[in-house]
Amino acid sequence: MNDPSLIHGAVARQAAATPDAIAVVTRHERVSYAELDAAADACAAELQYLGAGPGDLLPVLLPRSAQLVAVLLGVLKSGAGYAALDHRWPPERIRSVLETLKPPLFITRETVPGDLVPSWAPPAEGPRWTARRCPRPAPPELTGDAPAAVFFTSGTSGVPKAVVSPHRATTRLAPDATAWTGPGRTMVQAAPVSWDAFSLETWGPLITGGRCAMADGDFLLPAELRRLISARGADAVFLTTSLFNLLVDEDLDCFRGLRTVLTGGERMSLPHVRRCLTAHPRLALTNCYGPVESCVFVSTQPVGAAECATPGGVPLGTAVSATGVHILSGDRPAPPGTVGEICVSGQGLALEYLGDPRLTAEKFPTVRVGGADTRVYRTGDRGLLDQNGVLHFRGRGDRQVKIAGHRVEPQEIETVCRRIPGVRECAVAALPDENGGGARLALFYTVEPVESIEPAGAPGRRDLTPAALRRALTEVLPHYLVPHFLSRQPAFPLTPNGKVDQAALSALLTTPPVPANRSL
Amino acid sequence: MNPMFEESTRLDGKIWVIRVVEDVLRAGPVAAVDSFHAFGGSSLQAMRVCVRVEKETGVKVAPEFLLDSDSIGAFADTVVALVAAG
Repeated sequence: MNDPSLIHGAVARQAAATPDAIAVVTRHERVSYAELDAAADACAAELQYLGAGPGDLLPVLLPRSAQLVAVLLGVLKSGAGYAALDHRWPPERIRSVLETLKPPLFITRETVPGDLVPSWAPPAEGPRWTARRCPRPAPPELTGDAPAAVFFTSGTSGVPKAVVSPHRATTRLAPDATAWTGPGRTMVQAAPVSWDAFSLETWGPLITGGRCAMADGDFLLPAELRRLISARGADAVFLTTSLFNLLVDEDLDCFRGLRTVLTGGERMSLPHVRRCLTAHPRLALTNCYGPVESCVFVSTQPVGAAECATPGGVPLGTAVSATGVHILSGDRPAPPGTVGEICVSGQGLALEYLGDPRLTAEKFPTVRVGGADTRVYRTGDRGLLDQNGVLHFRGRGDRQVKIAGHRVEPQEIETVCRRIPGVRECAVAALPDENGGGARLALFYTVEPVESIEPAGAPGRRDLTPAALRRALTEVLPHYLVPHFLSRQPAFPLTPNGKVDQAALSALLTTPPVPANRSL
Repeated sequence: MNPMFEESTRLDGKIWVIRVVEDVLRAGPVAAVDSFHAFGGSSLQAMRVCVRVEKETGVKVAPEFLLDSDSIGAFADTVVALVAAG
């Protein structure tokens, strides 16, 4: 008998209990649990026929659709794990992901860059297909520790980290998820499919008997949210903090009809929270905290007037089920009530950073907490637990920043930027949100002397303008890592020893460059 | 309709869109030839522009149009054409 903590098993149980209930609704489709589960079985049969199974991690690049959900479930049923890729990533990013995953098969209708991997495309007719070639082979025996999903997040080394998340990390969310989903409830799916928020929005409803309402397009604008509420019955939504702020600013009324709004990713803005709660006093607004290494959530905090008045900002809340929060100072528990590094234990933890055992050992050590040896994830976030066990955020211990909900390691951008011919030195900094555009990234760079990069008279990179560098970065980095401001400097400030003067550079980095180069 | 009048309406529309972008960027003055990215325009700001355009005109514009446009003027032309097409 398979482990009850498998994602596809939990969905199949809902399909058996309420086969005719609608599981996924999109602009064009309404797919029942029975149809979804049958399509996933058909997909699993195909994949097993093609040789995929336990131990494989299959990249999936398909449009946001009911079929995508069926295919992901099919991958899980075959015993493999999936990596849902964002169609906006440049080919270079896709290639790097394929090199990390080393998959036997790429599920997509796109052309695979460089023919690196054989591809398989599900039939075009959508989610209601049935097995064509074969009866399904026996389902593989799996446990909740089996890899289910791979999420890519910014890495300081210049290569994205591949976070491998097991089935149990997602199914552990079911007890908490029933607060905003389950039978009779409909959750919006609008996050990029490559995020762990996709698991929250899709598997959250489907493992609890709720409904997933998929948005059109990559940007959840207020008009689309209204349509999801009025036409597809959505009553719960997850929004990154910056998107929540935008909706409050631009169209406060668009929340009408929602019962639950979950937000997370950045510190909540008190003026936005107050405006929202004043206009929608019955709305259950929840602040969520959770790096992807502890799938979707670590802790949640219902937000009301009291939380807005908390010194230090809205708390991160109390741990979700099967999850532990620990404040460490070095490798030891910090004294109660003091600030330290937020560390997380429990069923939500990722298995590893794929292909990086050294980083895995560093970030997922076993430490002694509460009298027991415990595997934890070191978040790099700083915080404290108050006497009621409520977690409060107190900043970062390193350079990591959040840009529109994406975790960004400035070193990744710098490493990639230095590889671009003509760039001599560069530095990335985050500029605070001052104009409603969210925190933004600035990149300052210097260029190689012309004679060192090209023979005399050759055309080319004589003038690596900000616009030209931006184009070059767009070809190798996903959109959210491409800096907003680029500024070429004649030279970086140096110390008397000839090293880059970090203090003087910081002063440079705190001021956004004026758009001097008007014409492209 | 008088073609001259139509032309001036289009020009007014284009200027209005550029002013919306300028207002969202809070970095003005913005010229039609300027790139959205030269002002550090973020995807969230592109979304704000599209929300305001839709509110005012009823026309849905995807933020990608602005993020992928060579210039703010080219984006404004796209919006005006969409509005004209109804």
